[in-house]
Amino acid sequence: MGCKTIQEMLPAYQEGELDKSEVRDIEEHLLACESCRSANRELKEAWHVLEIWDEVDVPERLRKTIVSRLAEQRRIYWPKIVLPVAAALVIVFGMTLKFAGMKNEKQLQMPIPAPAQLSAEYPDVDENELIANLHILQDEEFYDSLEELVEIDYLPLVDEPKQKETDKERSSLDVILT
Amino acid sequence: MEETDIALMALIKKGDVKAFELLLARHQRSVYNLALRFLGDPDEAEDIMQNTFIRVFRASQTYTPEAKFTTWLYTIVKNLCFNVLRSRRSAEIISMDSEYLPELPAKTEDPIERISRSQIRETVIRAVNSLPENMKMAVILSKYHGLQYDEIAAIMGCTVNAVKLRVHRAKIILAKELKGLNRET
Repeated sequence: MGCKTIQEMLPAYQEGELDKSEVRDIEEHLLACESCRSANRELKEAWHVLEIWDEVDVPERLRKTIVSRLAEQRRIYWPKIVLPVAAALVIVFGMTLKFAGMKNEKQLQMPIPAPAQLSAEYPDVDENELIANLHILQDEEFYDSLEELVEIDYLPLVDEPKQKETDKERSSLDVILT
Repeated sequence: MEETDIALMALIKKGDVKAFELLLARHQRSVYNLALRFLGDPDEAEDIMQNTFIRVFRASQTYTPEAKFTTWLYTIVKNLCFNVLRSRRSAEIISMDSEYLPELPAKTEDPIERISRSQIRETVIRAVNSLPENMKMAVILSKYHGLQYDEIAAIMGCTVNAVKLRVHRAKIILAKELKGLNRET
């Protein structure tokens, strides 16, 4: 290796970052080359002489300024956060109310199916029987008995094909339940 | 027992001003001197220090200790310092940075003559200031703040090898600039 290459490698050599063969090459070169020995010494000395640039004290008023600026920041900072969050909440709340109102309005505007339409959808259901049995929806005992039927797997599902003629009697109840 | 920086940050998050003052007292000197050495202007160094600690306070709400606290702190200082340099550049006060070795002025005299300590100090400051920005920051963090290359790499957002290269090149430049000075100190 030539002097130029050796001198470029000297910082890494001084920091112990070279492998053994590179270290051996450099040390052999340094033994023979006064110029590179001098460069090696100057490199160490220059790094050492940087220490003359010592630290300075922080002005005392600066510390006080920071603490007072912090207090000011806290006064400004919280309203800065709280106000937008509050505004956003109000907007979201308002939108929710409006949306809920529109939904209810739509539900109210939905047409009530005519008895004839219901009969067409459920041909097996007798409309008069339905009306006659509506009162059982207010009867707690009815629900208790339904639960029992469900528990003993007695109540057939609406979509299941009717197996017996007697099932027709319960068909109207099935429709109500579904 | 002394609270760690991370524990202090947790207290600051809860609004503990005393914890903030403790953190400030602990790091103000290194933050101020890093900014002062890098920028060379006491007024700008003061601004950097103020902005750094205000940012620390603000960031306490979201701070998660992923690295050493000082790595995070010095990253803030470094970013603010480079912002100042950008502002100066836009005002065309300083020349553009370069990763290449700068052309050194030809030495016409050997600085062996006796010079005072303050003159040596001035020469050192001038030599460090002649380094390109990234080299200068790496040298300051390494020499004056005792940081390892991996910490400097994290702060500067580059690889460890890039930091090594910068410091090694800087050492060669400084050796030429400060030739013979050490024998006078």
